[in-house]
Amino acid sequence: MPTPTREIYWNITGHNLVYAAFAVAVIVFAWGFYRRYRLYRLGQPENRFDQIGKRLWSVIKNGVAQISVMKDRFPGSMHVAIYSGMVVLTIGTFLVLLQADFSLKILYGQFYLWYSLILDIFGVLFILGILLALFRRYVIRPDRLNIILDDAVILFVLLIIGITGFLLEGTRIAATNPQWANWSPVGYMIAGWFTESQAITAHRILWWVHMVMSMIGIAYVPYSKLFHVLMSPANMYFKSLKPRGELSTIDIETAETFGVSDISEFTWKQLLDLDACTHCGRCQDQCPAYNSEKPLSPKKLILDLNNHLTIRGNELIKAKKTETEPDPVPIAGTAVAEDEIWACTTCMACQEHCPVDIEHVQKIVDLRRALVLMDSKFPQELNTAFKGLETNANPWNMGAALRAEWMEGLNVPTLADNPEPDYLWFVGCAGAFDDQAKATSEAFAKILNKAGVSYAILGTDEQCCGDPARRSGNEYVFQMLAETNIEAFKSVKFKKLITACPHCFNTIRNEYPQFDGQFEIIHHTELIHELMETGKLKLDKKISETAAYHDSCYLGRYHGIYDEPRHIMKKMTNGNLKELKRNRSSSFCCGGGGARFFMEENIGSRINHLRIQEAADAKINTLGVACPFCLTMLSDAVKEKELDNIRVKDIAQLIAELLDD
Amino acid sequence: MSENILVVTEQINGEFRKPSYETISEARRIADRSGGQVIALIMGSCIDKLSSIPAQYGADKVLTADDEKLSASNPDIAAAVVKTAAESNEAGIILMPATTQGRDLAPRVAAQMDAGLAEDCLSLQIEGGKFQANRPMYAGKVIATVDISSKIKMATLRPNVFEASEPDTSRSASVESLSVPDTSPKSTLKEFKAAGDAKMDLTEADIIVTGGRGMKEAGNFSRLEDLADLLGGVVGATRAAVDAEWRPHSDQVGQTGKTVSPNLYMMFGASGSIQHWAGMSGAKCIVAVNKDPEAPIMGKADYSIVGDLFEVLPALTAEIKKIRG
Amino acid sequence: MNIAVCIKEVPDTEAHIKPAADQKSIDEAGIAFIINPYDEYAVEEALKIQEAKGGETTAICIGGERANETLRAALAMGINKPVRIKSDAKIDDSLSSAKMFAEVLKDMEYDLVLMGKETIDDGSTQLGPMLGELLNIPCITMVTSLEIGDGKVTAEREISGGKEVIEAPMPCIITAQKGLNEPRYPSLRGKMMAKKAVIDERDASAGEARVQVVSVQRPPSRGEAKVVGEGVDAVPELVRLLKEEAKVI
Repeated sequence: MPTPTREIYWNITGHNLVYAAFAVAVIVFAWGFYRRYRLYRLGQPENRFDQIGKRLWSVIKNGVAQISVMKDRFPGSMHVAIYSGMVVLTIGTFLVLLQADFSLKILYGQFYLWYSLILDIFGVLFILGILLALFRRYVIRPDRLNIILDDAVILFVLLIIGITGFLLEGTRIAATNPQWANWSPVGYMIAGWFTESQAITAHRILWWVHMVMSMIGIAYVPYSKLFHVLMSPANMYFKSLKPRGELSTIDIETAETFGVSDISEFTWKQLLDLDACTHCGRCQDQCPAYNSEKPLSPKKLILDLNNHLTIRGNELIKAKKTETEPDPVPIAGTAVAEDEIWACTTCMACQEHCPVDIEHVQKIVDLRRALVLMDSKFPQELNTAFKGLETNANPWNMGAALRAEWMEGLNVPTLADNPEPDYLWFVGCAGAFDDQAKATSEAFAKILNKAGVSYAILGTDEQCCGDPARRSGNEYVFQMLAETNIEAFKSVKFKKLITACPHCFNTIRNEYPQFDGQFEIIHHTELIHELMETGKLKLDKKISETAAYHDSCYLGRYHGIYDEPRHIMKKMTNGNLKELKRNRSSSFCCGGGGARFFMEENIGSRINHLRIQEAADAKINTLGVACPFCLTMLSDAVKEKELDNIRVKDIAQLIAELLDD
Repeated sequence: MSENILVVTEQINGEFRKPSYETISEARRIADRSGGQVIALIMGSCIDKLSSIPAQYGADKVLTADDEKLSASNPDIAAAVVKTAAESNEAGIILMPATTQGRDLAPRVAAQMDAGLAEDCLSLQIEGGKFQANRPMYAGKVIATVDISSKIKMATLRPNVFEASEPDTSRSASVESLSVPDTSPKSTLKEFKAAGDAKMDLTEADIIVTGGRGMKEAGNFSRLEDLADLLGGVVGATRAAVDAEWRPHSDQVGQTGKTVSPNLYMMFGASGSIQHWAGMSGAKCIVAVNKDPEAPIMGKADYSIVGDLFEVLPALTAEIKKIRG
Repeated sequence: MNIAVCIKEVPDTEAHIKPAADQKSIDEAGIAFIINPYDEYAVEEALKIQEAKGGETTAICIGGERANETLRAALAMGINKPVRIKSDAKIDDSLSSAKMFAEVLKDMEYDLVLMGKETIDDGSTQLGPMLGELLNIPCITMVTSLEIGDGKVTAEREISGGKEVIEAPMPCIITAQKGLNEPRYPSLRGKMMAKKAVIDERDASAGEARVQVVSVQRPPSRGEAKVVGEGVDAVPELVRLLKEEAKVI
């Protein structure tokens, strides 16, 4: 048998036009890329250039290995098929280029045989992937996909490239009849459809079609959703390596403006984000606001901002060139409605499920910051919260002097009683003022006392951790509170901070370091878990009802703490713990985060009602939570929906009930 | 040293308002201890039939200023009349009820007469040249004793605090009519819009009767309306009741509703969540009726009854009717 | 239109108020001070009118150094000029305060003088009407709606039984009632600028005080939550307590 190979450019005359076409495609591509790139350049500086190793790993994990894409199996597999097909076929074509233009002898012999087979297999995968995509998009029509012309164009172009590719192979095989034709099984099959003369003519035509389509594909990339092929991996590279719960800070003394009103006030990375979006809609699917008929959809937010960037960004660029002053165009009220901005609970379900690391939440908080700090425009109810935080250091504006009232009559040591405790217990505003959460505080105190833990509370020196202020955009009040608390912590000698509130936990752990406040802090479920594991806390009874655990957003998605609360509840229930359908990283928010606990919910259905119904439908009798917002939101939902047979309790309360007094 | 006491009464539509009786009675008690005459001033239009009444509560003399100009609230003219009445009767003490009208009128008189004024008093200690009054300050969180040392001393008396004595129909007093000065008022009353169902704004009300989720349906609020009418108060609602669309949002008391500070706040079938408490914790007296002894409000209310509101509420309404007579 | 707003520094409404050791005044330790909430409505109304009609707004406050913070709060909302009438001693007599304000206002040009209908510390509703007499201009109290016309104002005030609509020529005094408007939340820029502003400090004589607070005491205890009883049987006792102990019916 002669050496397996094939003649590059067989049957084709004038193939040099490829270079011309490629040059045109590259120019068009470069122009398109530039048009987008200069929009990112409008953004503010941000350092995303550190820790190169970590960044590269992120690209390898999710970009190359498609791990995040595969989180959703069916569309994930579909994409992997298209993507891997694309990659392999491109490498294959690249090898042809090396051989054709650099005279490297690559496509010969055994190598060429395997090359042919592998390309065929991946070609099939590629086409299958596209057909599945067409089916999913135009027949199944899932809610989270929006359908525009661009989608059809892309799929059409790719499909043509794929199909013409096989047809080319088939016609070539039909005409040249190589002995190793069965190493290209698809081509071999297609060859049977053509006579030799038909094949030669068809091949010639198809070659040009295939070439032109490919060049169109390349050129089209930066003008369409295909741009994600570059920008998604870029986005993964530039992703935030900070803890998820750490929002950016503002230097209030020196900043000229606060938050984001004009699109150019976002950082360049936030603008690049917008082009990484593949419109997959997973964020929207998971979003509690979207799923309760609020106008907010994280996907829509990103797409609207993207459109706005294109229009407004180009306006700004033109103005700079002509040295004119453009009229201000605030994003809020134009590209994005204020209702959308305020609907977010900061649950991070969008970011958790986004395969390309888009950061939705920071953008929303940036928009809120401008609304609050520059325009004083925010839901009326936040007025009391802000006033309360400023005057009495709590969002309900209850007298600051009453903060330690909850512990009267209980055996809770203050710093006066235990000046150098192992644990400084940060009770939080809910734990001190909200009746439901006060019961949690009481229960946790009982647990700590029973287990003989050395702890103390700050009492009236404690101020709100600041989470509601920062999340609602009032960075000024947040920093005031944080700085006061940090000073208070620094004046005490303790080993660790502990809190029963995931929001306090997040802010103190991840955001206080921005103000020189580095403290070790754990969540109360972590301590309870440890006490149970080391035998310092033993349950005297068990619960017999059907129980489940509701993952709190700020504990789960924010910190990956999913297991400790479950271990505790399993011990409580003798191993009989159910799971809600939407659990762990897909847990459904209670609706209280993002300062929403302090706002009215006037649009659509109630998020907390939806979540409690999920638990009720699963016939859960005892729903364990580990967050005071979840506790109140879900308990209120039980009352409002008049559900019998279900109670919501913090894990600490459940444990305390099972301890003898 | 005895001083004459001028009592500025308040009448509406030809009837004295109850605080006027309380004020005259208190003036009588002071005069009985310290001497001096009790002079009652009646201002308004077509008020002659009222002139015999102040004596029954202890007035020694009655002054009437009967004029069209005084038929509606007209503080400028009224202030001038009071000043003239006080000066021509050598009154060293001027008392009036601390109603909306009284609290608007008294300062004007005080400024004109360079008098010290103790406002919204809970008790008076007037004897032998000393003039002191106890009055609430800081939204009732403390009670202050104030001392007045000016030549003319004034006080407005909180309604429903001082006791109106039993009217003694055997008493009578001389009646003198005063002329009303010809000055034109600085401001003019253009219109009085009577509220259709006479609903006062929650934030102004002295007595609020609130219903929560335990009211079970919109129709049951009429029972609260009966109680409110009886007490001269208004009906409020918790967020639960507003969300259930039993009451309008304008009735909502709470963090995302209205903040109120009435003298009396009664809650029926409401648990008293932290957000509701934020709106009414300024109430001076809080009463709660709830089935659940563990409901948050039960540990905070000044007085509470553990019980079914559908039984307690009608009994409460009946009892109040009884003592009111 | 030039508008003057008389504001007062008062303890926060949620502050824990208790008599000082000498029982002559309240213990100010640990108390946060704020602008009198009713005066905030006045400030907001002044700003709204200024936005519509132009002119200048001035806030005037009687007090010690600490009162400058209250003036800064008004500045942060948007008031143009801050004036502090220096007085370290507390003024118990509203007529004295009125005279001090009158002294400063006499040197100013104003179309409107606004203030809250009541100061929440001493519970006094006297300032507006007294100032009206001293300046010999009209005063409309407890206003819930204000319309500025040509050289006159039309105000609505809520009294029991309904609303009065009153007209007065300017200059005049308006005291603000809750419901007049929703005070704006100061922008951060406003707060930052207010921090740096220079306060105009004036002297004015309080004169002889006619009214003096001689003692301050805790009210008869309210703190205890009393469960009067269960069910219908507890009703007569509840009513008795409300009448005789709480004196609210």
